[in-house]
Amino acid sequence: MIQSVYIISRNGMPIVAVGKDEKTQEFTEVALFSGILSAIQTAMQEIDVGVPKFVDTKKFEIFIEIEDEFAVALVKESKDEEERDFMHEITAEILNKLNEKYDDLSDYNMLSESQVQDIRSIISKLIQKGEKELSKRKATKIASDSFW
Amino acid sequence: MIKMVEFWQNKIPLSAVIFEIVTTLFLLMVTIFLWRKYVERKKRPVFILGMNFTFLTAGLTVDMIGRCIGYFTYPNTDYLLVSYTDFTTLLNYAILAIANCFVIIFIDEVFLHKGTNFTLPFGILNGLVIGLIIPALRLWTTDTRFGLLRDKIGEVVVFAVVSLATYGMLAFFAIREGVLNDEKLPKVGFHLIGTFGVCLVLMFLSFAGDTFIIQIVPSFSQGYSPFFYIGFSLSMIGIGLCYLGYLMPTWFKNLIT
Repeated sequence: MIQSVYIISRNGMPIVAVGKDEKTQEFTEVALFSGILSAIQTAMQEIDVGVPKFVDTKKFEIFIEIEDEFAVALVKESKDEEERDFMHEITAEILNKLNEKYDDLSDYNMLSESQVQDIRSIISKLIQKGEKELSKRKATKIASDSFW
Repeated sequence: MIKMVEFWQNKIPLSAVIFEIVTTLFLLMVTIFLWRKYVERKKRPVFILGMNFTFLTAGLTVDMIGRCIGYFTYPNTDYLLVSYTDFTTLLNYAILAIANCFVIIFIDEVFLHKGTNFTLPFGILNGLVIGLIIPALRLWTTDTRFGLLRDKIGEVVVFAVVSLATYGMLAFFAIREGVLNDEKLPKVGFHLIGTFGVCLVLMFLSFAGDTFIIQIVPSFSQGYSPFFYIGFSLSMIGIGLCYLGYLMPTWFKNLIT
């Protein structure tokens, strides 16, 4: 289940957050998450191991796609290794869609209220699409393994 | 000499007995195939479905036994004086309520993955159905004349509504999955499972129609309106679809692919 999607500027500032619950979208929560993720990325770059595209915690999996000006982080609840490729695809799709539509997504202050709403709507639609696809793949896999 | 009585009367036609025996045998066959599949694959969804079909078969067998006893005990009389079918049909409904619980667990296991939040309310509803039917069964032991099933129409309606919701959900989720799928095999498989659900929904509606029509149309007052036969025909079609959808024999897989 997709928990939330964060759009973060390259310097670690939150731009937009879309989540399943209100808490995910609270400013402090979003700021903390963006900061931690940015710190991890910077630290890994510093020690020259490359930018992480996937972070695995005890509770969640975080899929990251980075562009010149912003990054997309998708947080997913359950852990199913077979779904990881698809989650990377969805994260990349969010990044591409936003990149196509917006020339500059590096700063929240440069976005109008309607633009923020539009970004939220794009993300929500892609989350829904991802959830549907995940459910389909899961049901098909269970039925294929069990019966067919 | 049979005395004409005031209470409800009934005579079981041979066709009804044949319909029920054939359906039970079909169902038993599919149940055996399902358990064989479970032995082969050892998968939880197959086990859940196996339990569902075992209870479906048990329920229908109980109902069939009642109808056979009724038919063969009084073959030469005009009317039955002891309503074996009233008792066995209600007992069948109680067993089918247990089968419903396994359908719900199956839906959750394959399609929803919500756990007890989803399965528990339906389990309680089916428990309620069983709780309503047990006193009616006890009542039969004190008065075996016809009419118990018709008097307990409220309990039958509750059972029918819960069962309609159960198989309606199976139909909805399976057909939705079939529509979403692009691959041939899962697409056909899910559509067949969904159509099986639709057949069972229509079957429950037909049996409800039968219970209703025999009370309002005098020519059917002895029971066994066309809805009874439509119901059993639908269940036979459903079992066939279930065989193709769940078990998918090799020849059928080859046909699809």
